[in-house]
Amino acid sequence: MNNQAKLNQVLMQSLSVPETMIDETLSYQSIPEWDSMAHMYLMSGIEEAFGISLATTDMLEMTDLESIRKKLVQHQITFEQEA
Amino acid sequence: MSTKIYDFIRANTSLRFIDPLTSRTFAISDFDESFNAPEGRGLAFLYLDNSVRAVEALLHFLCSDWALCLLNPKLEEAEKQALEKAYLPGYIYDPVRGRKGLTGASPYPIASQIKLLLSTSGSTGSPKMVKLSEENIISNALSILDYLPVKHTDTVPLNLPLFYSYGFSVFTTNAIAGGRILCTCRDLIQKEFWEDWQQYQCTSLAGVPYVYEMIQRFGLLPRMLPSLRYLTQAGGKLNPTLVTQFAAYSKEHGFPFYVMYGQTEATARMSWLEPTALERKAGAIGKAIKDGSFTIDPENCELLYSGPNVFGGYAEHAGDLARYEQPDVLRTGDIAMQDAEGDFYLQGRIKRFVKLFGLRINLDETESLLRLQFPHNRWLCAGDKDQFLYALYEGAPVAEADVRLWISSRLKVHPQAIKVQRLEAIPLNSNGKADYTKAMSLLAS
Repeated sequence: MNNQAKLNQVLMQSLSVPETMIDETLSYQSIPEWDSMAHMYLMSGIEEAFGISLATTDMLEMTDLESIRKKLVQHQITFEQEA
Repeated sequence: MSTKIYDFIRANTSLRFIDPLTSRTFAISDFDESFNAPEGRGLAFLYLDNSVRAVEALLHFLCSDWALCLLNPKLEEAEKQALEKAYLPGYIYDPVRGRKGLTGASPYPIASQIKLLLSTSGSTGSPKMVKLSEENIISNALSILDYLPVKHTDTVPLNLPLFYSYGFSVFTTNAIAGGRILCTCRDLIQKEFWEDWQQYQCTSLAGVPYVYEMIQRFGLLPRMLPSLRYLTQAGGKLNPTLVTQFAAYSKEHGFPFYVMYGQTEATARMSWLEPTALERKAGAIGKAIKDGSFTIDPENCELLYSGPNVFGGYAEHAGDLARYEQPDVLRTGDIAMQDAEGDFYLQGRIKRFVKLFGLRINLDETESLLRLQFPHNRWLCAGDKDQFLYALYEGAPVAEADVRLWISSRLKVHPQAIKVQRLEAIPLNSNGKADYTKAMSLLAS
């Protein structure tokens, strides 16, 4: 599984939304499902799935897909460019 | 004219409202000209977020003679319409739908004591509301101020919703005795919340258990220091590990941590634990607030509360607002014990079970099943010495043997353990809830 697919899996599980709802417009509180509680699950899910440990500052900034990928890249997790 | 909570708020000359979006600060008198609640009395539905505009609307209606129902602005359109159909409010404030004004609905009788309706479950859109009076609100705020160290130099963020009893009590207590109130819709996950915290040097935070889980999980405590003076926790039981952790932080950094207990039916607060006892008494809910008292029902160990903050009954629709009747005691539905020093501990909710052949059967769930299956009768289920399940009913006689077989197949217990019996009327207690003890004694006689 590539890292984008892995991230989508975590998003689907922690926000309890279908894959069709996951797109670049998604951000914290943009949908009722992504509330503070879900954000806790999301951060734990990301740490677990990618085997990393996030700092508080990171977790408060990972509030949309772009910023999440950016933080993951800083943790040496790469995302392939779409063909 | 009796005293209003608004009069206490108005008397606090230190009070300021901060709008973090514009960095503007308002005194209560700054709102005098800008907004007016219409004359007269009726029911106003206020869908409130925690913005300065919402606080302003709330203050105007607290000043007026209107009865208010505070509601979650994020409810679905259909949920809002259902609530409005049930209560026919004369005024609606809901910026989400662009509504702010009289509805034209005909006035109807509202008991003079009723000032506030709060939902016991803010997010579901249930029409079940708790009826509260000015006296309920004032007495509860003053009892809280008796133990919480609220000061005129404080700055408190409104991080809990105003339509939630705990959030409303943070608002009233700080508006009466505090200094600055940060009117914010941001939450602890947003970095802007912490930028505001820094800028305005906030001094306290109120949290339900999961707020403390977040603080711990995201390591947010350092962001509250050093301006933090105290923390409060209510809205459910905090897990013991977290209590121990926060007891340690509180000792290390010298801020008290108040574990509290309450229900919307008691306006908000019923008890608090002396923060110095937190380490020794993790899990305790402490002692009753000033002017309140606890007793334990000797029959089922249920915690009972009495005090001037006990509500005036539930409402489900407009007709229920004609009455405001305080029960002698509030049955909390929680099982409790008291230690030698007088502190109370909760040991769980009263859930009614009967154990048949080693199988635990939830009596409330069985009741719901029966109501669905046989909707023409009122049903009540009770257990007898873990030998029998009684299904008692009111109304036209039913084919009792069939009901017995239906329960038996549904719950997978032998029909011999089930008894179906008709009662002239299901006895009710003073809360209007079924009185199981009386029902069983009727059977015996």
